[in-house]
Amino acid sequence: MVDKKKGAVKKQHQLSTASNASIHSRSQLIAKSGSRLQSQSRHRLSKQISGNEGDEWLQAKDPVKPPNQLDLPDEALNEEITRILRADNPNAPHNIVRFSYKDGAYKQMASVDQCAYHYVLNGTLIHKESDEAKRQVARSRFKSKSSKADVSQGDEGNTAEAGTSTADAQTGDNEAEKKEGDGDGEGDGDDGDGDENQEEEEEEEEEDEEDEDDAGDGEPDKPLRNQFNFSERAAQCFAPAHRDRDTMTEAPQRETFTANATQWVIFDAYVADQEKQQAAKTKRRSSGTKPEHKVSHALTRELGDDGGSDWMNAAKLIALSTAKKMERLVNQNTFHDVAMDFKYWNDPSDQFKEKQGSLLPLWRFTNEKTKRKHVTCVRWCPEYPDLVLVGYGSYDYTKQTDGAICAYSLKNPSYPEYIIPVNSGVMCIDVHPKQSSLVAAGMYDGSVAVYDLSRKANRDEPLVRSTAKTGKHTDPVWSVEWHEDDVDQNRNFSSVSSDGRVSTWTMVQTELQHTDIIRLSYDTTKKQPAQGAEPLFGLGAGTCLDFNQHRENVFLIGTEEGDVHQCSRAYTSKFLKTFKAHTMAVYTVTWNPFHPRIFASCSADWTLKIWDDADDSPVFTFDLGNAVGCVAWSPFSPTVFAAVTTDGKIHVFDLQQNKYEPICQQQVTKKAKLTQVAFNKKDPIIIVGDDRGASSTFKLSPNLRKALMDKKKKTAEELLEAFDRILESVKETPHTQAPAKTPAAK
Amino acid sequence: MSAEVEETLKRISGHKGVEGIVILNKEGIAIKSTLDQTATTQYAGLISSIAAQASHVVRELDPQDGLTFLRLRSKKHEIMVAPDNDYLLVVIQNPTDA
Repeated sequence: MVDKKKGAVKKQHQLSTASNASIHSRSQLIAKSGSRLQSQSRHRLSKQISGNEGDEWLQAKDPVKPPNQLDLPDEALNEEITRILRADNPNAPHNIVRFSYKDGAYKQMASVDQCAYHYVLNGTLIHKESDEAKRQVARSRFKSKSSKADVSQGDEGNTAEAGTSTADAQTGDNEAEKKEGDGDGEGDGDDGDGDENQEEEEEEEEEDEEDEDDAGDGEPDKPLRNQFNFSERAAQCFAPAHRDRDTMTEAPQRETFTANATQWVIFDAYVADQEKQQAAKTKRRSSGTKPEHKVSHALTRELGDDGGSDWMNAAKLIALSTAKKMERLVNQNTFHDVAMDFKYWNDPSDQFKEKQGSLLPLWRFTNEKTKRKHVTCVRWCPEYPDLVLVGYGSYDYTKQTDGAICAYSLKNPSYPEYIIPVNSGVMCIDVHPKQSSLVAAGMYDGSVAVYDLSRKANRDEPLVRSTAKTGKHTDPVWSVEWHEDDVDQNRNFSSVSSDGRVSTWTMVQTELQHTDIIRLSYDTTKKQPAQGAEPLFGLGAGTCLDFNQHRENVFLIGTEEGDVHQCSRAYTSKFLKTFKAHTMAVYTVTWNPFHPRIFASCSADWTLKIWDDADDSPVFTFDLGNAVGCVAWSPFSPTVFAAVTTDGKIHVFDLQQNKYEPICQQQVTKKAKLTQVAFNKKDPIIIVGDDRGASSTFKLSPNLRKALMDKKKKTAEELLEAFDRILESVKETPHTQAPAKTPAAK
Repeated sequence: MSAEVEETLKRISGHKGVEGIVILNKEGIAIKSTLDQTATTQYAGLISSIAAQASHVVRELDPQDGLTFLRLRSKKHEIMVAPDNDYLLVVIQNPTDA
């Protein structure tokens, strides 16, 4: 071990005399590529650190200083600080403890490694006198001898052999030791390294042997080589200086962003994006119309700004629909019991009363603005079963007022959804069966108008209104009724007035065109008036009309004289038939919604009559003891109808149950006269209007709606058949006026 | 239009049992109120959060759906919340009073 250390050339500068430096003392004759690289890189590193060379390619730059760096003055920087080289490593730790398994405790290490290497280069030369060199020489001799088998140089070979053997013998002990030493030295090194070393050693030996041959024997067959400047395997070239170039940049600014993305947020983002794209598309398409939009927008904003009150500003923020919705729900709480009655209450006493029913009062619609007016017309909206339209005017010739059309919803009984004030009394309205926002109205001044409730602005203004120029009636319009659209898809409706004209009005865009279907004439031929009683005009005054749903063009007109005319739009010159129905003005005529031939009429002469248009005389006559304001058929059964009288009573009939008397007769107002009645199409309720501006809803008790209550629902045909049987039985028996009471008796 | 809304709000406040109307904006700040300051602040903070949560629930179940109305019935009151585009209309009613 000691020998070997002597043989190895060490280029180590050591601060301390460490004994375990033998790791670096590998016996190698030629520099290994690995060690070469190591030394090169070390060299480079030192160059870089010194920084004297190669500074020129670096850009002059202010070094980025840490903010807490001490700013020293020049004197402090130039101050000389003396450092002393010491034999021990000042940075070495002094208090290393290791776990001792022997004692089962941590023990402080007595000896601390004080060695620090500054430069290490593995040497490859061996001292000639060393054992190693001797052995190599001996081995090379032996090899050269065996390779040159033929050329025998006996003594040389012998000496070589002898040399080897002697060397072996001499260094027998040393050999063993050396192997151990090798083992120690390469303790943690891998075996591969060892093998390599072995191979290399052999190669070196060959060369060595050659050299010796050249020198010693001077054999001519071998070419002479430059011993000092010859490299067979690799050329050593100058390693170019490795340069690193880097730049210091400002650190990018950091920001923290967090958000929650839910499914609907993503959905909204997509929808918004789609809208944006479509808006851009339309904008591109119609860039010309844009300025107009702006003007109108600005206008509305100006209109909105004129509010002064506290609520006004808040009101701008909230949509009308939201406010209305809220009002409905507040009302739902207020009228909770009424709503429950409407939905679930059925008079339990009906089970014990045969053929008798009752009416349960529900909501009552009144309004400050229409308090003094008469309810002249009530119509349920065909599209929304909870919406009812009420027309207000005055029946009093001497006290005419202006009118109004109100739309009430059952969901908001406290205030109408819409109020349309009209400067003349509204006498009749009708809702278009298909487009329920269209409302036709006939006025006391003889004009007819169409309102569109769906309009956002100017709802109070009629879409169209007839004027004197466009042929308005000269007397109050008593009834209007919508028709199916004509061949040109124009909306059209008919009206009847006491000026004797029955007209059809057609809405052509914004104009109203009229055609007179028929002119009622006072029939002077049959009724010979007494002397001097001849009417001034040869005109009959129409008071009501109804078109048959089953037979196209056929309609009925009631007149002030008490006649009911059956006419057709196809033959406008004359009446199909005339019924001598009543002795006073006919207030309502209405066709049965199920039966094509049956109609009802009511009059101021206290009677209500049911007719078959094939017969001249009525099928049923009911005397109700007061002027009958209105009669309406139920939508659920052909035998059920209701009438209202001026004494404030509602009379409900079901011909199937009682052919002679109403099954319900109920006083609903004390003083007010009832004027109008209408059945709801969906729910078992009726609405009646009075002359105090109120309209009330009533629920029909189970006995009044037998057709609806039957467990096995009858079809319309079955109901109609039953009705026909009743009619037949009545017609067969000689007709007597069932209630024997006469107006006089009352 | 806004006159009609104003009228409707006035009618609501005149209804039986209605104790107050509060209009909140999106951030839950009361813009208009018929209640006193402390009650308004309390309602504004609490109602806006529950309305937002309710809206979130509805939208999360079906993004095409949306909250249109929220009623809270307590022993003493009923709090009704109608979300508008950017605002909340809150009405506090005492239904037993009606």
